[in-house]
Amino acid sequence: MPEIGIFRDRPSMKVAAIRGIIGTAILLSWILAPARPMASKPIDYADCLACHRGIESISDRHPFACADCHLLPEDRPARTLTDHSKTVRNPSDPRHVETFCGRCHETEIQAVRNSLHATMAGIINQTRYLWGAQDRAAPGRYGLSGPFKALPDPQPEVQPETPAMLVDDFLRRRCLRCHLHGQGAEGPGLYRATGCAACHVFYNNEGRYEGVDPAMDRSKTGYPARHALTTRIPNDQCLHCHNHNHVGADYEGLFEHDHSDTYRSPMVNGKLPPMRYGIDHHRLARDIHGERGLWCIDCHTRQDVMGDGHAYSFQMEVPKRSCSDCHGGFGGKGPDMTNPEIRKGPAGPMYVSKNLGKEHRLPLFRPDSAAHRIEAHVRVRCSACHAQWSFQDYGMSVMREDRINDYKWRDLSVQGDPYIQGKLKAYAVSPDTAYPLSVDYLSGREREGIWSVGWRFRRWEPLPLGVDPAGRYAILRPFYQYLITHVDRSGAVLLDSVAPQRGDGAGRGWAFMPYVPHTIAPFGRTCTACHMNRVAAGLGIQDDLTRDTALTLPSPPAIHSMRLLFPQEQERLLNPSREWRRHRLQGLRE
Amino acid sequence: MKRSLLLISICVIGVVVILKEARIERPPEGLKDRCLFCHKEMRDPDPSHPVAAFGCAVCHLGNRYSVDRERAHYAMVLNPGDLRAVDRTCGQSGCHPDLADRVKKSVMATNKGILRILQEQWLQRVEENKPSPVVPGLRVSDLYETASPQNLAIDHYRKMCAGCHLWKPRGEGSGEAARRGGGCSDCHILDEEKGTDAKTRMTRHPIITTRIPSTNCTKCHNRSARIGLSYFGRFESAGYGTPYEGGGLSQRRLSGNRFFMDLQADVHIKKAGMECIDCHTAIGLMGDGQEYDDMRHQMDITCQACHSPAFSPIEISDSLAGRLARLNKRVPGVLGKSVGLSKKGTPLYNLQQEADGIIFYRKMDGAPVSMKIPREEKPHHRLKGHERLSCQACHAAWMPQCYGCHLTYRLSEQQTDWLTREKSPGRWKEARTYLRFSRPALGIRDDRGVFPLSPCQMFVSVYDESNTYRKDRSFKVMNLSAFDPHTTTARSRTCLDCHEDPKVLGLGEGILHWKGRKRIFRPTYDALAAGLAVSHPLDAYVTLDGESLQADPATGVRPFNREEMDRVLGVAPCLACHMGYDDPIFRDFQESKRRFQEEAGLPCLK
Repeated sequence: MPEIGIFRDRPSMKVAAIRGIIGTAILLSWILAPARPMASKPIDYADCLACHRGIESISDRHPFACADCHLLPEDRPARTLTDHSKTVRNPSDPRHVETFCGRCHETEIQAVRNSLHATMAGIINQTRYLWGAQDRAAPGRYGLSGPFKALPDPQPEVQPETPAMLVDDFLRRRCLRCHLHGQGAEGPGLYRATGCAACHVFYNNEGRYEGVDPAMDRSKTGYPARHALTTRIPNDQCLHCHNHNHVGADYEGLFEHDHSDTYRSPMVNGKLPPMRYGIDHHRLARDIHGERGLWCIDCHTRQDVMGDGHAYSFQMEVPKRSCSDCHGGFGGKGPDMTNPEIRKGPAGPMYVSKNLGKEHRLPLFRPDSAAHRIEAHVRVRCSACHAQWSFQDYGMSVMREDRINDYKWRDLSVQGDPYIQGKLKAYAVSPDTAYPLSVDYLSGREREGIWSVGWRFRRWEPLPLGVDPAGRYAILRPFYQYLITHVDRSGAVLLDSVAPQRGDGAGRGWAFMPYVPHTIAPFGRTCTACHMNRVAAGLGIQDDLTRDTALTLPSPPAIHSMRLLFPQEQERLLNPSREWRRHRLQGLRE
Repeated sequence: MKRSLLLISICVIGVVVILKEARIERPPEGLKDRCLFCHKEMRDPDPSHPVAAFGCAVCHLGNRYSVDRERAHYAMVLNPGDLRAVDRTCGQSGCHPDLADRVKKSVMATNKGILRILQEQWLQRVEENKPSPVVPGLRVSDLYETASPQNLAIDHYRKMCAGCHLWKPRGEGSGEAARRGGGCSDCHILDEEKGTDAKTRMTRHPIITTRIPSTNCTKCHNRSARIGLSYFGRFESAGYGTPYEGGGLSQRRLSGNRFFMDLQADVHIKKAGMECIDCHTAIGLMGDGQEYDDMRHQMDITCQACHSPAFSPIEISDSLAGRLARLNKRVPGVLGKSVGLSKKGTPLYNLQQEADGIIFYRKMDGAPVSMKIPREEKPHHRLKGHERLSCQACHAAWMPQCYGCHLTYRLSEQQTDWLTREKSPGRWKEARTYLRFSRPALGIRDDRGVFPLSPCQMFVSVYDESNTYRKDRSFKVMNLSAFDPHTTTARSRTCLDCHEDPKVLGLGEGILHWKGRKRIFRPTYDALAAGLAVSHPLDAYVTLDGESLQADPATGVRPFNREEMDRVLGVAPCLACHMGYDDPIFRDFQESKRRFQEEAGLPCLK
């Protein structure tokens, strides 16, 4: 459980009574602690800077008094504050943002509310559709904010018997720990704020304060690095959420280790390096843009990250800056010179990175290269060729247990979530029957049952192809191939590795989704990485597929505007034309 | 007086002895030995060792003349197959003396290969200044002696490896480990429950067989090269235990808290239903009387022995082939027929030349498998440049590969020594970086053949008695091994699968970019960033310049060199068009290349 800090304000995690007790305890500790500065005098809580002497100004553009941001308007007139209980720790938290930031940033707040970062509509609607709880994934029906319906609260009195009845519980307890309204799990790499501050107030990976405020305890975790707002958001900040085998982590070359304790490695000078993001990571080739020092925000603009006001239902629907906006592309398209980061240089356009303002020579799309000469490649996403590796997490087995009476999680407690890990570890060592509880990341309350996740096998080598909503060929990843198990309080197995059925009756709720691996290499993969390649064509990794290797066969995406390759397309890919053969030869000779 | 006392004593003793003897029930005459007076109704272990003819003591020793429990069982051996007793039991003169001698010299009994490699690879790295000397020809049986060498390599063998060899007494340990070992019995005894047969009311004597079920092999051969798993289409999974079953982890379990996945099985089991012993001959398994310190020198079978066989006519019924065939009643007799020969000249009595072709008889059930012998003149087996390819280079569908084996050795903890069965200071623990079953890289074995490669990469961290990490004693061993993964597939890899794939070339996963004559390789794994103490990816065995990264020359296995890689890659540009082995450009590829570069008007670029 989170430790209690005086600057913490997370009523969602505590009941009011506990808050009262804590408040009193804090007050007492302040009064009784003899070593505290100014302990001899009663503390004037209205005079913040008496304690927080020299605290950083939040930003030059926000030259406000402390109370303007940290006290609700109704509390401000009271000149005497007796403790910290009325202070609002994070004025940008979705519950307070209107009050504090709204006067100046109303447009932004509205846009963010409709953005996928806040609505989580993609994850929610796709998972609900695949688990059979709704008849389509897009346009979305449910979301955490914006115009979507609120996610139903699981009814504890109803015994869930189908995947559709379990999906909201699964989403709440495993998937939705990363969203703007809640703080999620805590641990190295995961410390962050909610609301605007989730992005605009930097947290280091240890969650420790490193500013100049003398009142701050530097030994405690869960604090921002400084009392500072920033728009120059470093990648570490994005990775507080975008870790795990998802886009973002791949940009930094991270790929999760397998869960079992027998994969905890390597020993570095006799020690296991500390886990970040709740799991160890393989280190793979970073995206070339990352290698050169570009940040996520170099490509992901404000409209893209904070939304343009429209409530989109899935990532690929959101208008974004494309590769060709900087590098140029097919049809004579050149770099977008209206982009303030792109400047003319003596030897061609330069890109000025948002990171350190460093100038980079902007490599331009070469229309004369062998692959770019092929007309049909206009319909191929750049990443389909230029991605070096991808996230292929095959076969996701999930189990909700309302009762645990064995040791099966002893070596499998690492789940990428330090909170779940702690729980599983505790339940696995006890020889007694346990009735586990775990937190609902939306309500902040613990509830009966715990969800564990395991995979069949995870790979970074295969790059199967599919088609995105714009009709372009893109890399697919399994997202996901669920097998659902539910063990109730009596130990009865109500669902035993059941594959869910899609909500519109279109078959099994397993999906591969087109995506953009952020593992871009300075050159494309070879022609035969797709052409004459069974994996790329979607035929799986081996001739004789078994129940396990058949998981490498793509199943249709959850969103109808996306698709797998048609048989004719597969055929063309596997048996390319004579012309293609000549192009390949030319390509290898250039 | 003294004399009468003595007399009385003698009388008393005499009476006692007579009374005691008289009260013992006497077996009727005609029993082979008196064991059977108590052990009535004992089932024959097999038709060749009938209890009625042999009795018990001829195999189990003890005192066959006594009917007293203690005296009868004195110096008896429960398991006559145990190599400690075998000279007096199975190997006594008149029975199988040559076999017992051979088996003791075989690699399954000596583990000489493992012990040699471990010492050679480890000792110089463990103690760089004054390494313990490598004891040449060290065998497991030497380690049972008190004067066994003591060093880290031997300690590792004793605690992590020594559970699988023929000297291990049967029954020691629990579960699968208990079934391992026992000399002859390790292979030749069928595992079944002890007790009385309900139908015949006979006491079940363990069954002796030469038709050895593969489960007897796989109880040991399921780690390391994992051949006993791969052949049957099993692969040790990453340990998730998925899919979950009945609210628990998967039942697809292996010993040692491991799980497996199902993969494509070897074509020999999938199509022909062949078991291990169908290929692995008595010479290959039990040895030929020579002591080898490399398993593959003991091996007898090759793919060619069956697939491009040499036949030898059998004219004498008492020849080895004749005797072998007589032992296995399910396989038709060989007299007057021609049978195949192994690499070492052992007759393959179950591969017979018949009027309507070549028939392979399965040893377990005698079912005939009609052999299609690939004709030598087939272009894909006669392609110029492919002379050095082993069958496995093209026909192995996949190969288990362990990347990064992280061993910790803590002297502050204790672990059981498999040989002494006692705990001693020093505990080993293993972790991995990742496992793969993908297409293997190729490389060169013994400077002759092209073979599939699998890595062996040990990162050993040593902690002293106070559990303090000792950098000076920690080390790493990077190695490549070339073996038949036992994942044979009838359809081979395609030309492009090998000639353009950086993984197969030994560069590792990544992008091999061609820039005119220059090639650039961008590897996928970043070992340094991952904290591994190596500057190259774990799956990189060689650089584009031909620099070998992980091979130890002593093992006779190396990746391709620069020249070989250039030759392999040099074919790649042609392959998308010239896809057949019979394509004329491959008849003289150098000449074809010259024409391509010099001659105008070729259709290639038009």
